[in-house]
Amino acid sequence: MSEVVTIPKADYERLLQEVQALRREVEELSSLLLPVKIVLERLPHLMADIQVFKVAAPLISMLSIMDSADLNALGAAMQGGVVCASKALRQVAEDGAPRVGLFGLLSAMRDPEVQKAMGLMVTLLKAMGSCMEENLKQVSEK
Amino acid sequence: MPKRVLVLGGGTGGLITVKELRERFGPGDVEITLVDAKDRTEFRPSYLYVAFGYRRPEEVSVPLEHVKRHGVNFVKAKVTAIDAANRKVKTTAGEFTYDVLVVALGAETVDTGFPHTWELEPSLKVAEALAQVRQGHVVIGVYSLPYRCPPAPIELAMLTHFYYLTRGLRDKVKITVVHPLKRPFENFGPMAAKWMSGFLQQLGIEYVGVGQSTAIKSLGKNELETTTGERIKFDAAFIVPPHKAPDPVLNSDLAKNGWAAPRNPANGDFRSAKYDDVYVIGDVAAPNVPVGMAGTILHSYMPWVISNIAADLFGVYLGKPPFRIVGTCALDVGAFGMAAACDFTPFVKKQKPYPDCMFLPPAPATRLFKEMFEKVYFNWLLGVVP
Repeated sequence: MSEVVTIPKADYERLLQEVQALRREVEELSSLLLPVKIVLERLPHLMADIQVFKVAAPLISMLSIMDSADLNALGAAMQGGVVCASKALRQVAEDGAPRVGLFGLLSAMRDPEVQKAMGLMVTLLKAMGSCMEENLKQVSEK
Repeated sequence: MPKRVLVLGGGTGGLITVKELRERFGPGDVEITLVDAKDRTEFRPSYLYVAFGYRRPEEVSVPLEHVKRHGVNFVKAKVTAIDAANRKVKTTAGEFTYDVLVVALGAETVDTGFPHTWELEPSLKVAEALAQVRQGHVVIGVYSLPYRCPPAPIELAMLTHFYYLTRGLRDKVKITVVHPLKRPFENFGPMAAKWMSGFLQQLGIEYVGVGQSTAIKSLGKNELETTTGERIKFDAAFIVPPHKAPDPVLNSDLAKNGWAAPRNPANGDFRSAKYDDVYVIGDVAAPNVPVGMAGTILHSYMPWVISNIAADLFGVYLGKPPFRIVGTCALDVGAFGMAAACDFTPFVKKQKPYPDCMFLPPAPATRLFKEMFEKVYFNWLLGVVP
């Protein structure tokens, strides 16, 4: 047999109002979250979609790739790149750049600053070449 | 009077069919009946986790009774015969007729007596076998092609590697994979084969590629013989058992080459080759598509199957996405997950000798994705999470 509980009418009406207010809030929240619900319901389809996979692939790959990154060197290079490029661009913006022909190029090669820049590029290319080749071999079909 | 759709099999194919059809048509339009020999449906990829004690059996399965909440009849019965010519299916719970029949009975395994992770019961014996071998040779052998989830034997080998690594016994235990394919992942293309060969080598896992569709000729208590005559001794072996189509399919006129025959899968037509009102989907038809047996591949072409069934029943056109047969998955390579995806469309259309596959570098976060999908799977199809 079910138990009957008696409460004062005022309490009953207050309780009723609270339930109605709660219901309104749940309905509002439910409408608000409806787009999220639709996405969640479609989640299995998205997880199995090869286009979504391809878009997510770089991000997923970065988890592993960044694990082997020298963040100090990369950070310094990124910072240096931004600072140095800004400085160089500002210099061009203010003073412009001269026209350089073949003789001008030969003359520039004697400039220690240009020699330094060329040395940097050659050193980077030398180190990158064999390393990149080795990595690309992994995806060769031969 | 509502049309009758009869779905045989409560695995991924059967459950996607009943869910998608019920979402489009109410009980007044379509009466849907699902028949399965078992009363629970399982997330098979997680058998690997059951084997290594990471999941309990009840965590990777839910009762099929839950389909009733969506107005779908569930009958626990074994299918005994399919008489498509007379639109009849015989089961241990009686005979059923239909307007549309969906055969999603999957593939059955033939017991070899060895533990493996292709069925639930033998998965529970893997941990016991591993615990007994503290030094020696563990073999993961694939009896023959085809079998469910082509990458899974490699996954099992990698988890075995990781198990011994964490126990500090890896240097005392040799791990070998014996497989019908000459090179690992050869079916995913030469790049995949080369990459996986390197990966296995890096982990110290030996790979014996037999190069025959049946790799194992005989199995003894502690020795196996390959079909090319190589004898391999072991202290424990996990043998992926031979797979076959269920007898009711084999004994019907739906079968061709030992598996159910879809009409024109390269163009998205998964009707039976012979009957307009019968669809054959999933593992039971996979070798004739031809694709690997995996729920993810089936999932990719199901929108076409559902559209065709809906059009058969009511003449409506629901709109089809571009036809693609693809598979995405996350392999567990031992504490790490490895995301992979293959587009099988050009392969199935005979435009390319192998599928377009991509493999992302292993990352712990990808393993979380694998675990999340297990939960999402049940919630998606049955609205519950075990």
